Order: sequence, then structure tokens, then C-alpha cells
Amino acid sequence: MYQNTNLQTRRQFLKKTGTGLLSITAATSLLPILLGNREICLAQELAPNQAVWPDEETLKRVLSAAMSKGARFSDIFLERTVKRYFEIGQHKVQNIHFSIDQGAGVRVMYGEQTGYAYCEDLSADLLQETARSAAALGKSSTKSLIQPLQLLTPDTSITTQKVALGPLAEDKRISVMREAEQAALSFNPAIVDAIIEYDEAIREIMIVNSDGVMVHDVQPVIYFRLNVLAKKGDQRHMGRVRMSAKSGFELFEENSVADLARTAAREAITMLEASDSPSGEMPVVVTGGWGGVMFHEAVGHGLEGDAIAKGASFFVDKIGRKIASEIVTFIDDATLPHLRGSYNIDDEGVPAQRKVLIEKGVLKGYMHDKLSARRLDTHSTGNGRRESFRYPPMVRMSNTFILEGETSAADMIKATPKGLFAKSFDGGVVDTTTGNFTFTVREAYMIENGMLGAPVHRATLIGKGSDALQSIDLVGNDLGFGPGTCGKGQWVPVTSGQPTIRLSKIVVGGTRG
Amino acid sequence: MTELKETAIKVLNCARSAGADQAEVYLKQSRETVITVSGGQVEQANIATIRGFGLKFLKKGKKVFIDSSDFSVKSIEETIARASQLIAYADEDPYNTIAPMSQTKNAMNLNDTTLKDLAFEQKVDYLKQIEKEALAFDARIEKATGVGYNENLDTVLIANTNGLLWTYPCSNIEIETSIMAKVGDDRQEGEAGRKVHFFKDLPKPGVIAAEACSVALELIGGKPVNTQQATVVFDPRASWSIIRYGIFEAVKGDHILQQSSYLCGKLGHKIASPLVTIIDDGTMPGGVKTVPCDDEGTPTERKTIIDRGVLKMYVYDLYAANKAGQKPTGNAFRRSYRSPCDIHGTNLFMEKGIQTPHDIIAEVKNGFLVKNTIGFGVDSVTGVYSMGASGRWIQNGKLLGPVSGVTIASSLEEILLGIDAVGNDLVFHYETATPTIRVKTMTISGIS
Repeated sequence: MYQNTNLQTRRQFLKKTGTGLLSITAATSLLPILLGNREICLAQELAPNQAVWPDEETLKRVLSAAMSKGARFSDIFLERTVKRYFEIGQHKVQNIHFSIDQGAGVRVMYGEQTGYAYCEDLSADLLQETARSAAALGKSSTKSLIQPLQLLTPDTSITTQKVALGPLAEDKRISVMREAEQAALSFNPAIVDAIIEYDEAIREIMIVNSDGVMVHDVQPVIYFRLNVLAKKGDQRHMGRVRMSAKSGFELFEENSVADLARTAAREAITMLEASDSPSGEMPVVVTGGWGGVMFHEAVGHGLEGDAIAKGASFFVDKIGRKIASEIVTFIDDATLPHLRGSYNIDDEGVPAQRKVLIEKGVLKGYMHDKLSARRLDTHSTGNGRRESFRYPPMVRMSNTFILEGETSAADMIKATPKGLFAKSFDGGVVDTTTGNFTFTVREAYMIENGMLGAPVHRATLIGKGSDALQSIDLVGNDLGFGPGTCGKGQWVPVTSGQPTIRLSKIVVGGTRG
Repeated sequence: MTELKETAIKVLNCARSAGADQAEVYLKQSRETVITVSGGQVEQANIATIRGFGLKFLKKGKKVFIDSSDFSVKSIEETIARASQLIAYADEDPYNTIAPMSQTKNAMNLNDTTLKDLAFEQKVDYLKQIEKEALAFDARIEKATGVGYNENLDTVLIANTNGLLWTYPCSNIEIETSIMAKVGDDRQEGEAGRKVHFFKDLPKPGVIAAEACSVALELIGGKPVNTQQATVVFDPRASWSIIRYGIFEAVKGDHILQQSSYLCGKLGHKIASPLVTIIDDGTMPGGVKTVPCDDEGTPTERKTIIDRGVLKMYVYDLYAANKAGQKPTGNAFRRSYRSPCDIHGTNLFMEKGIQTPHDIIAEVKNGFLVKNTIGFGVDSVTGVYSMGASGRWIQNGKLLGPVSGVTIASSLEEILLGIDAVGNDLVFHYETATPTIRVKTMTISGIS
């Protein structure tokens, strides 16, 4: 079966924008949350949008209902997502799940108050009723103006599919899964199971709003996850590798799933020999790619405009101030072709952007959606995202990363007499109010006399975002990205990236003194 | 109710005609209301009325899951046509089955019938009052950062081709509050929340406000301590995650079959202190997660997972039970009609002990009272435990200043065997509950 989202907190529903615990997870399947509902005509699956979306007149009438009580703004978010999920475990294709999740959310804004309602059907009557529910907070009987709708089309697409997913035969998907499974199982006799998950969604969205904007986009995303279990006596370890892209099936032509499987298997086997993790403060070399999850937590969430507008972030009033070591430049870029966190337009219809958040240690800006931009009298940076039509948008990261520097990873280890080399991670959590963050290392090695030593068990690393930024003393030349899913009450696909970096000092939560 | 039943029959008949030899359908109809309040006014109001079904379609031991929110005959037929097409790609597995018809009829009242007539304003007023009382609690309380109410009025129906049919109405309310305290440059968030079936069971607004404010004021300005071995007392706010992630994850039947649990092969072994008894009880009167049956139609029951330190059982959904040669334990649940079942706890708790939390702390010479844990550091595969923590330091039985920015670590085995006190303060605010517990020694990592 699917693994739980192992978000080890109580929070159930109210994920207040910008405060409290925000988490990101990589190692867990989000399927139970992400898979959707509603099957429609099979023949329609490949049909153009016109077959799915209501016509312009209907949308205008819905907007008009939404604006009927004096709202200052309203938008309709229409979505149709076709999802496929296959899982191999214990040598069998065990789980298959198919769904077409279709619906619309209507948002109506009065000042800073938001009314939201959604429906799981795109019929004109239901959309009207949904708009009236969303407008219910309004006190006035004066209709607000709606600008004439104008269809905007992005110039280029960063999510094009060379090998389209829609018409692809199912056995192609099974075949890459089998290849990965075989590569993992044949790696070593101590590998007892390979759980391979193929998770695909083709998300079509259309957004219209009372400012006259009308946009649509297609966002295909593949998430391929490998969990490889090794066991020897009472020692066991689950090695994990993930690959994701906003692209077509060419992802599997450009990448070897067998290599991915062997990477996961190698982690599982190596970690069978792990000893206790060290405890206390020490230098830590954090590997490139998904290692960037640390800055997603430690810094990224605190730079989200909703946290800033609520005054619930350490980074309030710090624009122009030096907040990090000057070798640190931190960027959120939704325009990088085919990355899991990329998009052409955000879920409020604003074009994706590249934002330099920290430049050479100096704080340059925050990320915004329309609401946080309004509160802080600025413009949206194209960071308004939502899990689905069931949720109003909120400020979210896309692909966040630290720009590369000059040191090679090998030199970094050589330059570290004693410390920890953190190679693979599960996830991280931050409390933006205090800036305290944790991230959990699943695969790590001691560094002794500038050389990689023995593997050590899982450990949580803890620190304050502001301290961690200052303590980066080496930045590598090997920028990479890792896919994940970020939770802030809603789950959205993101990547975290960085080159290999060294923190001169951070608390490592092992058991060995 | 009748419409759900008619739809269920349509879906099952259609699945049969499409070649299913067994089928199980789960239908849910729900009215969802989410309200948040900020600055004395409604910040967000979300409303939706939804319904849909999830179908487990079985043919010769092969399985496909599919879902839809469209109850029209045409759409049901198309959905099932898709299932019947996809099943070719599944592998045969004789352990894929559906539940037998049940003689058990757990009669329960889980439905607050007053909710549908309760005015929107009354719910808003409840939240406004929480915010108001929080701001008045102490001058150091700067603002409320989130005060929210979530209500679901559900009707659930589970039916299968063995003739099984369960249906029940169920209301669920959850409230959550977080506030921010500020002293000098230090800020600290405090939270409090509840889950209940009945609106009348919600605590007075002042109770929630006081809980959230007290914890923020207690923890504000926390500093790391030195790295050391020390006794750790877990407050109920923190101890629940050990049984949820450290024990329940590890006794899930699918993880046992997969061998991905540190509790594999430990049945009948002493894995915890004799003070530890863990119960999972889906029938507990008034429980947040009390339901007549699980989402596969297996009746819920009270189960002792750990009895005075000895591991007594694993928990199973139908598939894992079949494969292990056991009976399903009424623990198969879905996140929504759009999700297949997974193994989940019901009302999961550690039985209370006899000591008061005060006495448990008073016996500690040098230790750490943990109020919050943060992170992904409970690993039920390897049994390694390493979590970020905040709370208060304890010296000679007295509480000293706040601590944060440290981790606590050990193995789950050593934590469970090392529990030397269990409090008498078991309270159910959520479905998982644990009293105060004390662990003889753990590694606390902080400054050098």
C-alpha cells in the first residue's frame, strides 16, 4: 500500500498562511491526498479544452454572480486533471488507480476577506450556485464591474511533451517500472523488496477573473519513486530515489531508471552497516540537489509574502539587509524548463517569474500572490499556487535554489578535518515565527581527516534559518535539483536545489557523544 | 441516504456486468464548511457540497481502484469500462478480496443533527471569542495568527458484492487556534485545537485561548542547552507522536509483510516497559475516530496492541490480513472517496498510569520536559528516533527556563523500554492520545 505522508505533526486542516509548521517531504507517497475523482467520457480524454471548459458567456455569467454583492475581485479556477498511479511491491503490480478530477473553485474578495466555494462538476447551473455561495460574505447589493475577458497565451511553454502522455500505451509505463524493479532486486541478495511507484498527472487549468484575464495551461507531471528495502539480520534500511519532471514520457529516454534503482539499492545496502549518528554541533557538508530542502525550510517559507504580511516571519523589515554569508545567492525560479516546480502561469493566471530573493547575502525581495501583494502594496511575483480547485491559492515556492559557487565537493570534504557528510534526506519542517527548522538526514557519513568515513544512522539537524545562512562557508560548483512535495495545508510539487555546501556549524541530533 | 444506496447498487451491478467477480464501493456525501477569523472579522469562508464514490474492482485476483463524482448511469458505465480495461495491467494476487457480510451492528450516534440549522454567525462568533480572549489573556500576546473552524457533515455508505451494506451519518468538527507571543525580539507561536463530533462538545472559547497562550508564554525565548544525556519527560502535546509514528506505523500489517518495520518478528516479545499498554479502539464511546466499521466494511473493535510491555498483535486491512493468515482488525480507512484504503489507527492511546505529571517532574534531578517535537525523525523501518524539540529544563524537580533548538535522540526500542513513569493525565483532544511519560535517558544534542 501507499506510505503515509509521514508529516509528524497534529495539524489537520487549518494551515495558516505563513505561520506555524510548514513541511516538505520527498520520501513519501502523496497519492492518497493527490488522487482525484470524476471520470468522464473516455473519448474526451484527448479532446481539446473546448470540449471540457464552459463557454465564455457562461464564465461571464458566473463572474457576474460572484461580483453581485460588491466584491472588489473574483476569479474562477477551472481544472481537469487526469491521474494515473501504478505501484509495484513484493514483485507484483499491486495497485492501479485512475481518475479524472474535474471541478472549479470560485473566489470572491471583499477587502481582505475571501469567500471561496468549489464544485466537482462544470455545469453552468452548478457554477452559478458555487459563485453565489462564494459571494455570500458580501453586504452590498451593488454589482461590481467586470472587465471584458481577453484570452492571454504565454509565448512559450516550458512544459511541452515530446512523447505525449495522454495517448501512451499503459504497458510502456509498466515496463519502465519493471526495469527499475529488476535492477534493484538484482543489485544484491540483501535487497528484499523494491517498491516502484509511477505517478502521473496531466493537469489542465483555465483561469478567468474580474480584471478581464483569461488564461489556460497544460501541466503534465511525472513523479517516479523508488523505495528499495535491504535487510540483514535485524538491520534494515529503505533506500529512496525520486525523479520528477513536467514533461512527457521522454523523461524515461533521457534518464536510466536502472541507474536510479541501483542508487537506491546502494543506499539501502550501505546503510545496513551504519552506526550511531554523532550528536552536537559540528561542520556539515550537505550534498547538492535535494539537500536544498534545508534552505527551502530555513529561508524559503520565511520569504513567502503571506508570512511577511502577517508579521509572522523572521525576515520582516529586512529588505536590503545582509542576512547571509556573501557567497549565498538564493533564487526562486518557476521558469526553468521541465522542472517539477515549474509552470507557465501560476494558479492565479500570473506569468511565472525568476526572483532573486537573496543576492550575495543581501535580502532583495519576497514572493507574493495577489493577496499578499495587495497587503504589502506590491505586485504578485507569480507564486500563487493551489493543490487543486478545492483550495484557494496561497503564496508558494516553485523551484528554490542556491546559485553555484567555485569549490568542488571533493575539495570541500578534504578541507573538513572532522564533521558530517549529509547525502540523502527525507524532509524538513520550519516554524517561521522563531525561524527554527529541522531537516532529517537519511544517509550520512562521518568525515574524518578530510576523508569520507563510516555511514551513520538517520539524524535530525536543527538550527535557526538566520544562523544557518550566516554559517555557509563554502559553496560548490555542482548545482543540482531534487523533486519534492511541499505541504502548507495544501500540497504542491516543488524542487529544491543547491550545489554541495558546507555549514561551519550546525546541531546534529544523533546519540553518540 | 436512499440515493446513495441506489447509486451503490447501480455501481456494483455495473461492475458485475463488466466482468468483476468481486467489487466494493465506498460512497460519501459531504457538506464542508471552513471558516477562519482574523482581526475580529471573517478572513476566509469556504463552502462545498460534494459527493462521490471509489470503486475497488476485482477480477480473478486482480485489482483496480477508480473513482468518480458523477452519479449518472452513463458516467458510471464509462468509469467502470475504464476499470475493466486497466485491470489487464494488474498482477494476480489471491489475497485481494472484499469483506464478508457482517452480523455485527455497532449502533453509534456520531451525528450532530443540530449543525445543519446552526447559523454561520454562531460559528463565527465562537472563533471571534477565542481570538478576543487570547488577545486579552496577557499583554505579551501580540496577535492571533490563525483561528479556524472546519465542519464536515458526512453520510458514508460501504457496500460490496457479498451483500455487505453499512451506512451511517457522521459529523466532524475541528477547531484550531494559533497565537503569537512577543517579548523583546523573541516571538513564539502557541497552538491549541480539538476534534469533536458534536458542536456542544467544543470547549468554551476561553479554554482554547488559554491553552494556546500558555504554551507560547511558557516557551518564548527558548535557548539550546549543552549536548548531554538526560531524562526526558514528554508532555501529552509531544508524547502522542511516539505511539503514532513509533508504534502504530511499525505494527501495520503491510509493513510487517514487507519486513519494513523494526517490530517484525517481535510478537509476544517484551518491547516496552511494563507501564506501557497501547489500545486502538474504534468503538470507544465519544471517541473522535469512533465509527461502526472501517472503510472496507469490517466492524471496528477494541484491541490491545501492547499489553504491559508485551507486543500482542499487528493491525490489518483485508489484504494484509489475508496474506498473513489473520483477521482484519477494522483499521482500513480512506482519506476521501478518491483514495483507496490504507491502514490507520482509530482512537489510539496509551493507558493512563497513576502518577500526576507534577510528581513525574518532581522526581527528575536533571532533565528535559518536552512540549513540542518537530521533524520527520521517527523511523519505523530502522527504529531510529531523532527529533527537534522544545520545552523546559528540569533541575531538582523544578522547572527552569525554556529550551529550544535542540534534538532528542535514541532508538525506539530504548525509548519504549526506558519509560519509567506514565501520567494519569490522559485526555482525548484528537484521535491519538498519550499521557505524560518519562524516559529514563536520551541524548540531547545542543551547543558544545
